[in-house]
Amino acid sequence: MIKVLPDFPGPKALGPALERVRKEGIRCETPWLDYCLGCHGCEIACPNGVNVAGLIRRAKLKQKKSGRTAVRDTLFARPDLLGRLGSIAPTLTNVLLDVQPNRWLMSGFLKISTKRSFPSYYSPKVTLKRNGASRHTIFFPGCFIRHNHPSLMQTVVDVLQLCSSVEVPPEACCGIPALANGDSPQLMSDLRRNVEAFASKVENGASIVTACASCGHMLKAEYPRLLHEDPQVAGLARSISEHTYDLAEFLLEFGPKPELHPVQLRLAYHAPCHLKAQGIGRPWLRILRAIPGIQVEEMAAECCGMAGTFGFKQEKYQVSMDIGEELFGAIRTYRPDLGVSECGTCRMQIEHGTGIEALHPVEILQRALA
Amino acid sequence: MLHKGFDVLVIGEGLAGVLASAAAARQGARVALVSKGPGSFMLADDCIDFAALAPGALDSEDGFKREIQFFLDTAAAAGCEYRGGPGETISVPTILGGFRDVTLAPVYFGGCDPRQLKAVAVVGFPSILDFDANFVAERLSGMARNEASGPTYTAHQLEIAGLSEPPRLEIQFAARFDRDANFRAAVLAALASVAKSMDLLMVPGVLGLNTGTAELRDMWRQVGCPICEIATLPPSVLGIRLFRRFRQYLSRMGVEEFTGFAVAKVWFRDEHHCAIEVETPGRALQLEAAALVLATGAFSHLIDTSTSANVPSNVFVCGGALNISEPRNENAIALVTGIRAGIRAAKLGAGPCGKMTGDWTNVSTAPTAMPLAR
Repeated sequence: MIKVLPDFPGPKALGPALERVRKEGIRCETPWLDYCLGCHGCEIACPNGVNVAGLIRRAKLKQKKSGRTAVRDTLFARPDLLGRLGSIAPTLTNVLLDVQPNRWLMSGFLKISTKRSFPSYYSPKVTLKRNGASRHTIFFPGCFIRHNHPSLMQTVVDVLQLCSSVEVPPEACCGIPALANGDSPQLMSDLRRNVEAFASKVENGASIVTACASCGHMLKAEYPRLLHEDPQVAGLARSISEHTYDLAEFLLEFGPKPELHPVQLRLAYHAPCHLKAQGIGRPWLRILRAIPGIQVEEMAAECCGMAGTFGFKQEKYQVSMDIGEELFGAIRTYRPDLGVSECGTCRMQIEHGTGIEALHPVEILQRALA
Repeated sequence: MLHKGFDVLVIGEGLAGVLASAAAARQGARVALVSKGPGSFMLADDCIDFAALAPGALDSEDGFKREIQFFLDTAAAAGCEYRGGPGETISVPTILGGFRDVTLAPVYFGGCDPRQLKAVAVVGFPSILDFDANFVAERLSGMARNEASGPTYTAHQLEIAGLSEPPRLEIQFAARFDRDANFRAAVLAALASVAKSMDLLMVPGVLGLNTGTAELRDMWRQVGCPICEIATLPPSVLGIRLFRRFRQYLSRMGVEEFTGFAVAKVWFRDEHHCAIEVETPGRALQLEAAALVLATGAFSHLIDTSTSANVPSNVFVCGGALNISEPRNENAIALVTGIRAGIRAAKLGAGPCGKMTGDWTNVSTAPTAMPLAR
């Protein structure tokens, strides 16, 4: 952020420095809090382990919003609700989200950028097989995969079923959109619902698997931090956190050792911020490199700039694109057949910024397994 | 095939850790590079000095020729060429208007010794406050007068045309230079306007975070004379640039990075098995390998390396962790011992038959089967 917006005060000022003043009970509301992308880069960079992102997040959750941006952010904090409404009549939704007059209205009333296209909505459908595997996984697809990319949901389930029995629960949102949009009531409702739904299952030996780096980071890193007050809930949150795996991490740990067929592709890989914040290396690069014929390189770029719903906001669109330019430039120079990244909105940003199609890496693995 | 384990684990991402990873990867080892963050080399001016190395501080039959050549090759392959070599001296200008003599320096500092030239322009940008072109030019001119030789230095302040909001930090300037083609063109045009009849331009190190040697030479052609970028205060753009180039190179070599989280424990089973635990969210991450390179710098107490009896035979200590460095020679020690540790670790990782003899010496110590931590 600081590289593209010279006035941005930076995480140290917004987090620990302002926190000293906030602790005195003095209100320090600032619009700059909404420019924190929630990438957790500050936490990784801090040599002393200060929870900088947590301080910023707490201030953001307390900050009052008003007017049209408040309405917009309330909607953006509830992608699961939007998805459920949108997929009642997906064709109608997709037409409405695409027609220009409607986009102007959304831009005028809700300050949503007209320059972005919305992802299409689908009725979520997934076919599960009974395979008698002893290991049980809960695939947590998250809102984006469930409502906007059900074919990917099926691909993940198919791959997971090679080594485990799989369930796909109806709970959809991990809570990160509510956290990012500073919506405390929605956040707590997402957290409580998921803890109730999953805690007993993981304590009985199930693993939670995500195919979205942001859902994964939320479940692993944020649940124990956000739910620390009630000791009983805190214990359940810790269980969830300990039993959550990124899909690639899970496949490397427990997956089959299948024969991989050649796939001739040149891939530009982008590591999402929330993957880096999980500290699990680059498990998908390891898997992709095991596929014969695949040529893959990690792009030398930091954040893609999309940050979930951030890049959709009218006043933040240009900043989002400016941050993304480093990644777009790296991809254009590399001239790949496809982009790959395990985060849904990173993929949207790559496609928007470069015009190059971007897939989830498991979609490449599926081709190698076919 | 899919694998969970590695051949070599390298802890620490300073110069020693990066070179150990590169050396091990070039031997064909599967390497995991684990670090909390970049080391100081990658944040400063990137120069390496062998002259201050006390005789006998490290064993060498050939004056470190092989290690220096390995470093030059690695840096060039990473896209940031270096100048210099064993026994050579390169004079690198500083933001305080002096020269620092080093053995190896990146080509970012220009392709020649400024003191052998006739006319040098020292160019500043008004919004970059850490680099004072007048001060630098004045000091360098004074030095040239005292020595009765050297070029004439002239100071210039360049306003970049059509810039509403000038970048204030070096890193902002460099990021904009990478991102914004108009800005880049305006900066290069402004530099070209000063370059006429000059042999060299000295500018603060701000010309891009991703600039490699090839792009640098293109810029020199475009501007009309070589450019010497001077490292500003840490974290300097030059250091960040080098760090990113090395990271990219390691990634291309198949080295997997685990960065951002500290290593909490080291386990050792026998001379072909060791493991580490990293404090990551959710569960602690456990990584296993045959050999471990400890490049944790001078301030880590992960393993007590003060006596060789504490260090198992498949743990190779290098760089600042050896605690033999002085501030003036620590980069040279990191270079030599990092490369040696990487090669030895890779040979061990490849199997017992690959065990090295006396060729690469004095990095690690005699085998003991002592469990470390827990």
